[in-house]
Amino acid sequence: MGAESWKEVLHDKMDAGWAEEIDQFDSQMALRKLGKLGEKVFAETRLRRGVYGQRYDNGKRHDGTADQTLAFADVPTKGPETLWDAPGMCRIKIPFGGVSAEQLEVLADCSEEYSDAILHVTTRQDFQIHYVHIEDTADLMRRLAAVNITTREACGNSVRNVTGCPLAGVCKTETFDISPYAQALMTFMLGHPDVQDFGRKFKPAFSGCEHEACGLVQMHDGGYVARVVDGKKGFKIVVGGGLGAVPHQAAVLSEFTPVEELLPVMQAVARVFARLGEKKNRNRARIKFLVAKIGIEEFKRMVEEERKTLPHDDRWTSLVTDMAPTDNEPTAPGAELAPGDRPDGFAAWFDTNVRAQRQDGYSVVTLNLPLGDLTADQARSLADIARKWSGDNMRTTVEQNMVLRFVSNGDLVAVFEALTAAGIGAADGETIVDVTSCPGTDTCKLGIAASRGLASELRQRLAAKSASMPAAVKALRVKISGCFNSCGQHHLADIGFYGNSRKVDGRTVPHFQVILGGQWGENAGKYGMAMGSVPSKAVPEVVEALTDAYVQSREGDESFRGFVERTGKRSMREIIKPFMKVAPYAEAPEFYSDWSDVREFTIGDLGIGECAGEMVSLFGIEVVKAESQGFDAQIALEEGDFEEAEDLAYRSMISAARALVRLEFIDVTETPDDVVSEFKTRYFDNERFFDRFAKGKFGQYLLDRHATAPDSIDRDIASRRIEESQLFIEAAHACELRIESASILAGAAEA
Amino acid sequence: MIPKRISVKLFAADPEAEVDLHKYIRVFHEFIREKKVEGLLIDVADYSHVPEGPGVVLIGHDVDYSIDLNGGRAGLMALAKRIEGGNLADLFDDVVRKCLLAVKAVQEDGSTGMSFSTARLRVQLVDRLAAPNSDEGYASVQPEFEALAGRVFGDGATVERVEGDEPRRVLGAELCANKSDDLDTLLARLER
Ligand code: HEM
Ligand code: SF4
Repeated sequence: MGAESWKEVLHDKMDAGWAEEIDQFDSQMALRKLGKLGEKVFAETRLRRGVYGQRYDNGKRHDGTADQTLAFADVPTKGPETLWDAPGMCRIKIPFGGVSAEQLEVLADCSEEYSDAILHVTTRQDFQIHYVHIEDTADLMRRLAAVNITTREACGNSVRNVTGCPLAGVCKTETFDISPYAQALMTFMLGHPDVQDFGRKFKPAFSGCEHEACGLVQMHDGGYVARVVDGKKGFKIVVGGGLGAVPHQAAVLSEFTPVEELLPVMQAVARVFARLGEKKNRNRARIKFLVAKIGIEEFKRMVEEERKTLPHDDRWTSLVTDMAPTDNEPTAPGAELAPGDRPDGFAAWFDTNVRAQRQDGYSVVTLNLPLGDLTADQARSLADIARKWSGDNMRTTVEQNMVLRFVSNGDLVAVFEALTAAGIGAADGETIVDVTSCPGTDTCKLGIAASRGLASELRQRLAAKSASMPAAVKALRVKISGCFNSCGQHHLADIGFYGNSRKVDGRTVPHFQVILGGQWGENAGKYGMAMGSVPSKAVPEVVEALTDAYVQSREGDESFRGFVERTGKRSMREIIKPFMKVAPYAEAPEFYSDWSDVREFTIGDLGIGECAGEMVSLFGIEVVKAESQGFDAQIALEEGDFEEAEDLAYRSMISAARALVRLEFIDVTETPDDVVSEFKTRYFDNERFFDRFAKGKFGQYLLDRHATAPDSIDRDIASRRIEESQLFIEAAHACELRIESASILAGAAEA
Repeated sequence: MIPKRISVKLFAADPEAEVDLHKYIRVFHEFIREKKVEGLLIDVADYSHVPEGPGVVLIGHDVDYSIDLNGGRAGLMALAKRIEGGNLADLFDDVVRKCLLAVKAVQEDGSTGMSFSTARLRVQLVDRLAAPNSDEGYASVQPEFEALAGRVFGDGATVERVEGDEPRRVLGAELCANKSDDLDTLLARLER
């Protein structure tokens, strides 16, 4: 056993670019600890790498009787009001939910070594681990990178995980397998210069067909539905959907875009989105507001214009041609489920958790994960099961489950037994029992009520009644968010809830707003309607009353939404009304604390959310690179590697110059010749880079070093270069400030 | 070799009996409020919905305490999380002590009805880089486990490797006493 680091051990296993980014993040952490990087810039950087804040990370917590200060050590913050030592959440991007057995094993290891041995599947097919210390995140990223998983742009104002139907490739209703295209979009957009300057996040989703729910494209910022026209593969593209407090349905940008136009069109959308957002400067918004404001026709026109001006990129076609379909080779030949004795519980499980594939003799098996959670041990057992019976491949789902594909029907009994032995063989997958929930007050800073506590309670009560439940009730979906931000996708459920609070008897009582009649089908085609708030502790009775009313008054095979629409809002409200009242504290104290909690309820623990990312300019983000190179240069100097130190210092000046150039010319390459020549004409020759005292002195440092590299490098030369580079980076900051304030002044003069 | 994390679990007297995890939510919130166990305590995480999961966890900055159901055997586990150097014997003693003190606090609370066996401790090194679960890995810490067993349980204690056939799991051992002493006796031995 040696003292090697993960960085050394995994060096050859990581993509070199990814490895370098992670090293950069490592040095940004070091810079922040030294107080050499601003807290907002650092927060933006970390969010972009999937490192989120978590509840109580401002060091305050209500313990049920009083507000307490959590005595974290006094080191720099990791963002505004976010203490360094406070545990946080890491979101791990899983494009279209595809995960291999090996990847799952590494995720399991990381959950044990950096978190609490729980892997959590999110409503956008990601994994999350909680209670992670920031200093463990670089190694976490390295271990994931070694199996080709990234956390980059899992949070922050960027392109988030690309989601897609978990049945892609095996589904009976799909037009074609969307997974390779989802992967292509992910590869193309990840770290793309055009997605770095969004005012808000951008969430893409792919669906293989129009009418099912799996892709949920209608609620996404960008949605892609597989279509074939005249024998050509392509996509219907929709934009501007989204949930949140004001949910929007996406509008059609194009009825058919051939596959080779998919990436450039998305690049054009990204540019329009980034630019329009920026025009309004501090008033940026999700794309849904933009499209709603300017209209889809105008948006379309702008995208078409933008598309024409894009510099050509070979990857537009190379990434989407000759794509291998992702459906894995099955491990066993397709077969029939043999008749005979079945283990206890098999029939119920088969009924809800097994779905026939397009390929004869195979099935998709759903793992009904409670609240999206599985343990590290369960993940390892699942990896074994996947290897043995389903050709290695799994998918996560937006219902916070996982699926195994290509399970031969002949193996279903064995798979059921293995899953059951591992504690992941629960029946009732994708039924009313399989409640979805966002993190809520468990870990989210914005949580108002305990969505997970409620979900756990409902799951337990509904599971107990599942065997005797009418089929129509069993088929319903319940989804819960801890607040109006809708991370739990409550708008899409038959019965949805989001957390809020009410004052009763001089105290705060946790409540949930009831949202009824959302449409899961048609790719999340319709959103539910708000009916009023009920106290948290009454929700199980409310669910029962609603389902009873549905069973009693349902006409024919009427859907729940149909029932809600026909009954009308007023009568629906009558059903929940008896549950709205809260008895005084002395009579019913249980109403005054939340599920899975015993503390008297308060909303005092609410913190500042990090959903949108910090607002840092494009320059701010870019120049961080320069600063971390400068930091690495100093390390190299200390270690006596003078050539490396000198070179890093030079490269840090190039990065800072590029940050400035990109304010005006987004497509500048990273080639030093290009950067220096653009810098010279745009900032140096016209003296914009000059300051009152030093004039062009600092700019000249870069020009001179670029013109002639030193023949031999000793400590003196390296130290001098480092000093020069620091002055240059300072000057770049000052230059950006002057430009920024000039534009604000110009704006003020116009107004 | 110093691992980044060490866990120590003391099993329930009847480890396979059903545990009412919800009772621990109240107990752990009170531990935070009253600072009844060591460490910077932050919050309570409820995993009662997960079969054989971490149960209910009292999340801390430097140490977590949980009513852990892993492997279908309930017990109280202390997990030291922010270890930065030191000497393995001292670190072991410290985590064992924290675990035993937490068990003591649970028993003093009395509301959960759970009793513990003081004859067996599971100790794991949760760090696949520094402490891989290989035969050499185990051989190099076996003497440390044996010494720890002696310090906690006195003469005649034995050590059994756990998960030796599963290299993906973390390295660990169970330390077994040849007689059953009470908590205070074990704690007193560690004080020496
Ligand atoms: C103002 C802040 C936030 C807003 C407006 C927001 C909004 C949303 C929305 C609308 C969704 C799901 C639907 C969609 O993709 O459109 C979502 C997903 C999600 N959000 Fe939030 N959210 C915020 C902050 C947070 C925070 C602070 C957390 C917890 C730490 C969180 C956790 C999640 C999770 C776990 C998902 C599922 C998805 C994923 O993998 O991306 N959100 N968010
Ligand atoms: S819906 Fe609210 S409580 Fe739930 S994760 Fe989103 S922001 Fe947090």
